Amino acid sequence: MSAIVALAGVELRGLTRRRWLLVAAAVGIAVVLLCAVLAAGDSGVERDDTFRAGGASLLLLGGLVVAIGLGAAALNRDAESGHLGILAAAGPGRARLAGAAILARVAALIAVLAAWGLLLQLASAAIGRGLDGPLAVHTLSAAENLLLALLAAAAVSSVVGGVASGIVGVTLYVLAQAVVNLEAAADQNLIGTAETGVRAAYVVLPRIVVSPMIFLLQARDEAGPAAPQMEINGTVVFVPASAWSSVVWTLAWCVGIGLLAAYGLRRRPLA
Amino acid sequence: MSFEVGAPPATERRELVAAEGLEVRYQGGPQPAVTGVALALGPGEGLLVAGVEASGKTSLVRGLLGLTPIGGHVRVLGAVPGDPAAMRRVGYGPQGRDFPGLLTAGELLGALARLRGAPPGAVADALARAGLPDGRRLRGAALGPEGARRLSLAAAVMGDPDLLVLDDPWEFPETIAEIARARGRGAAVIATTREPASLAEALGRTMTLVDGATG
Repeated sequence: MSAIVALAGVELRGLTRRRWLLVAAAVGIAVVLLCAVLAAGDSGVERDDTFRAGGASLLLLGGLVVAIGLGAAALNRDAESGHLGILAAAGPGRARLAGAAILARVAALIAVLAAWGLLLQLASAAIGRGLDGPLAVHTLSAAENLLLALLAAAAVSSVVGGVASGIVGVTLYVLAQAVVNLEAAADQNLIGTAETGVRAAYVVLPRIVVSPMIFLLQARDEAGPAAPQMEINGTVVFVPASAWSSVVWTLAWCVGIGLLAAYGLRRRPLA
Repeated sequence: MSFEVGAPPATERRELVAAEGLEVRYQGGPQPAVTGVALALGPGEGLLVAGVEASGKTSLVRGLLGLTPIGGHVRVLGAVPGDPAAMRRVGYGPQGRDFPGLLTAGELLGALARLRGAPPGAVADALARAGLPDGRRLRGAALGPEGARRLSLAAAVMGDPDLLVLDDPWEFPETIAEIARARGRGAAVIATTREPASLAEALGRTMTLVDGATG
């Protein structure tokens, strides 16, 4: 374990010098400040909605950019550039190498989300809303969802290039969101004959974790780009907040995908 | 392609590197990059692998290090290529362009030192021996071609490993000195080159690769 942590530390040091990541983190901070300024212009519930919808949109869209950017280049580029080769030749074993590369990227994602989340809380307090517990919970749920996307991209990055890895990461995220949306629609008897398939997919596939905050915002159609309201045949689909079982199930998927990444690097030639 | 893990040849007990019918074939490639290579290296021995560009030299050393799948019977320090315990006793100096540009020389060597279990001070010692005493804070991208080759040499010699593998090293006086030093303490040394020149004398034995095979 100490070898993984040591390697991950080196990887993380390199990641903190990647310009695109620093720019993305800085843009996110600017967006938080913008959200605060816009929300300060409103009052009451509108202020809450504006601030929370802005924060949730940043965590979804900005977070997805960071997660996919980190995951899609987790193993392929370093395997070809010689970076993993020289480390592998010192005997840590490929599973540890893959584990360290992914651990560093997970840490980088969490650091960026933590910075944004902390700043959101500070901004919330600064505009007179106080600390926002539901938004903090939403930040945690967004982190788990983005972890899923990062790991999916990282897993396939051991065998394919960056663009394809990124597409897989986004696709799995969308799939996990669709599974949850369709399950909610099935609960409202809006699916029809495909209900059996929808229920089966919900049981098997990873699920996006829906926070209570985003459920309430979406139900009132105030979530913005983070969770636009969904309709089937003119009927609004209410996507409920996730149960703990979904949180655990998606975490289990994350672990499984992480193991897949280590397996993928096992036979890959390293430069 | 698979390793033979059965009983080793009788001669292997005294060999640090032993290969018979070594083949390296990259995924999906119709032709092997290396085929039918046999070599044996005992303590204190050196081997220069010479050949033109794309003759299979780098593929050969990567195969020995377990960085790419291989076929044939191969043992490195008594284990299959890539065995973690054996690899910690190998010093690998890749071609100079293969260094992570965002890490400093000190950070990269520090990671290698931890993985190999090298003693404290090994990083500074290796940099000094490679002629790069002030290079610790330099990032890979800022090293330049000569600095990168010196860092490669430092990565290989750090901690005085039992097997030194130098892929296309530059012939600095430090390179020649480190080869002699390694052989003198009983380590085996393999180096690749396009132009043998003085390395052939330092290593004592030359094997020429043509299209991945020995001539």
